Amino acid sequence: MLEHLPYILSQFIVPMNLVLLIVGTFVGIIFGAIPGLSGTMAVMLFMPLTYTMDSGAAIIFLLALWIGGCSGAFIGSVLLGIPGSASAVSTCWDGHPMAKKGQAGKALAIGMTASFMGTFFSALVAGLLAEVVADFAFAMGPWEYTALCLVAMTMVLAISKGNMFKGLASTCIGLMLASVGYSPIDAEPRFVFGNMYLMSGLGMIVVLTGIFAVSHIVVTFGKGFDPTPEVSREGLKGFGLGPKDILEELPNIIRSFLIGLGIGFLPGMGSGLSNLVAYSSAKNASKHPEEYGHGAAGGIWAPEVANNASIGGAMIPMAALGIPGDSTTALLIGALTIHGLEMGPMVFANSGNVVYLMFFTVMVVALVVLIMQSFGKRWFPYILKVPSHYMYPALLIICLASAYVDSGSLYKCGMMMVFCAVGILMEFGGLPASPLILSFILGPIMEKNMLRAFQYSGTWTSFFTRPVSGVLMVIAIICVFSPVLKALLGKLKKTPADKA
Amino acid sequence: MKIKRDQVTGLVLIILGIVFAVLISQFKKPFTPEYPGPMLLPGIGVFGLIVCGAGIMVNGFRQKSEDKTFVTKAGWVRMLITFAILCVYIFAMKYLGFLIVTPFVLFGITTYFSAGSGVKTKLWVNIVFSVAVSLFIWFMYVKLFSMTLPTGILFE
Repeated sequence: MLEHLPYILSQFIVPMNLVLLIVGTFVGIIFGAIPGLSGTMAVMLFMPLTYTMDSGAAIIFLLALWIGGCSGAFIGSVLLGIPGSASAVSTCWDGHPMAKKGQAGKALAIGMTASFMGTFFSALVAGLLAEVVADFAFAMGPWEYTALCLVAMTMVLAISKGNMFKGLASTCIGLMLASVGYSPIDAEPRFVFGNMYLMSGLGMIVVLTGIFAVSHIVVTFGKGFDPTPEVSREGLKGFGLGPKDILEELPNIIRSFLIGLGIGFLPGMGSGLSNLVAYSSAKNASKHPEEYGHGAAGGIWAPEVANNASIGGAMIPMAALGIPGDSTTALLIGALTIHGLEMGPMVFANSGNVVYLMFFTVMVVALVVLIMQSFGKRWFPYILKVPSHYMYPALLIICLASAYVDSGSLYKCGMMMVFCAVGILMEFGGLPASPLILSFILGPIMEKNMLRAFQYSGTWTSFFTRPVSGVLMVIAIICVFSPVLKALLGKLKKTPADKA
Repeated sequence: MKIKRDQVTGLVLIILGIVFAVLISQFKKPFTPEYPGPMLLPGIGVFGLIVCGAGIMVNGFRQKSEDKTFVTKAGWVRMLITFAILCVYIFAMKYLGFLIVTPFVLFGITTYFSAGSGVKTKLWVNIVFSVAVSLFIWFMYVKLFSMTLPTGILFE
């Protein structure tokens, strides 16, 4: 690991890389803080900008956007009571009540410190463990990779609220979109209709930005923008937190860190789930659970440590296996492929310096975020007051510019509008976007490995007869049917008296 | 009986699944249990679309409560107009290029978005914003990151 240090340091003395680091972090925090935007959207929109950069600069910029976005999500939760993204949902429950008590400064300081701890230490753990996991991954064949991809896609379904069919339908739409173009191994053209623009597939930016970003903006305008919120600037002076506050919450911090790291490591899971699990664990373990929901400090520490610890957790399978931990790492895998970096066990042998640059960058960005947020705390209310009628039009133009830059063709901008329409229809039908993102990126990886497995063994039973892939396939099947199983178990648990 | 949103969604997914199933059946390489070939991934997708479509549709029939309004009629009109503006923008960029068209489109969308959400904005602020943002985006892509944005057929 230490042999990569000169390369890593050489990247951080390049002035342009430092500018990208700071700008990326700043933009990420803004995207994270404003409800409706997210770090994922920031990575998606600005990814084409990295095409002309070298891989080191691209990694620094994209990771700065991602980490900034994750760490900024608590700002909206604390000051508005509206989470900046799904990763900060439970931060609202105590962050906003604490702010309403006139302790906004303390709530923000907890959010900042917790975000830093979660991100920094999880990246450190990821840096230490990823290569070990990669060594295990060498023993994995196409059967295990296929099963892992299936687990990643189906785990999202297990945690999706409401209708299981809708999550699964979104996954299937992603698979259909991933099928467009020449098939792997056999090179058969699929759904191209003689159109040369479709031969090489649909393109990640065009599909995901159309469905995820453009449609979101159009629908938000259709539903009517929320009025610009009034945010109190009371209690924002000073850092508002001392070492005693941290020591008091140390068990909660450690527990939440482990929850975040573990959930982040599971393929397909991420900060959206870890913050909720950590919050409920903190509440259950607390001596004063009745204070939760009324501004308890532990109720901010737990979700913020956990959602940021998921970053390091998600980076382990991303680097070691090439399997994303969540939708943002799925995007990053796509972006790194464009830069010639194929994530997976071989990446440590082929481009170890770049992988360790990733872990190191996350730690540096965590520090930069902490510094930026500490000094910029008093300006947070202004970020939340950015008028939607100026912000969204500018983002629409960036979306279209990204599509053009991605392909060098206005045809793809037109295709993006088609996917905007698809996104609107999906939102109308209540189909979630996250399963589509994962399946669109994982679909080709899964197909390639599945076909290889069939070439080697000639039968589908081999997916179940090999121990590791067998276990993973069973997990995937359980995930698909988990909502049905949960409902059945719920019915069985009901006593005859309940039924009466 | 009022048609539920889930019934429509389910039906659309089933129809999509059937259409793609027909397209898949026209692939040259055959599907065999020993080697499924190019039909594998879209085949899984089609199977899932039809099954999930049916599931969503059944849920729609079982649903007793009324659907919440997704978007009002006025909202649909706003969405349609925004969509149309963006399509025209792409078409205009083909002939006039990014730098000429974008300030006008940005001004149009900004003014439309502020009027649509009942916010009064000053004309000169919208003009300055549109020009400044257009120039900033162009500078960022073209000058800073050496990328190309549409120059327009008429100016090539």
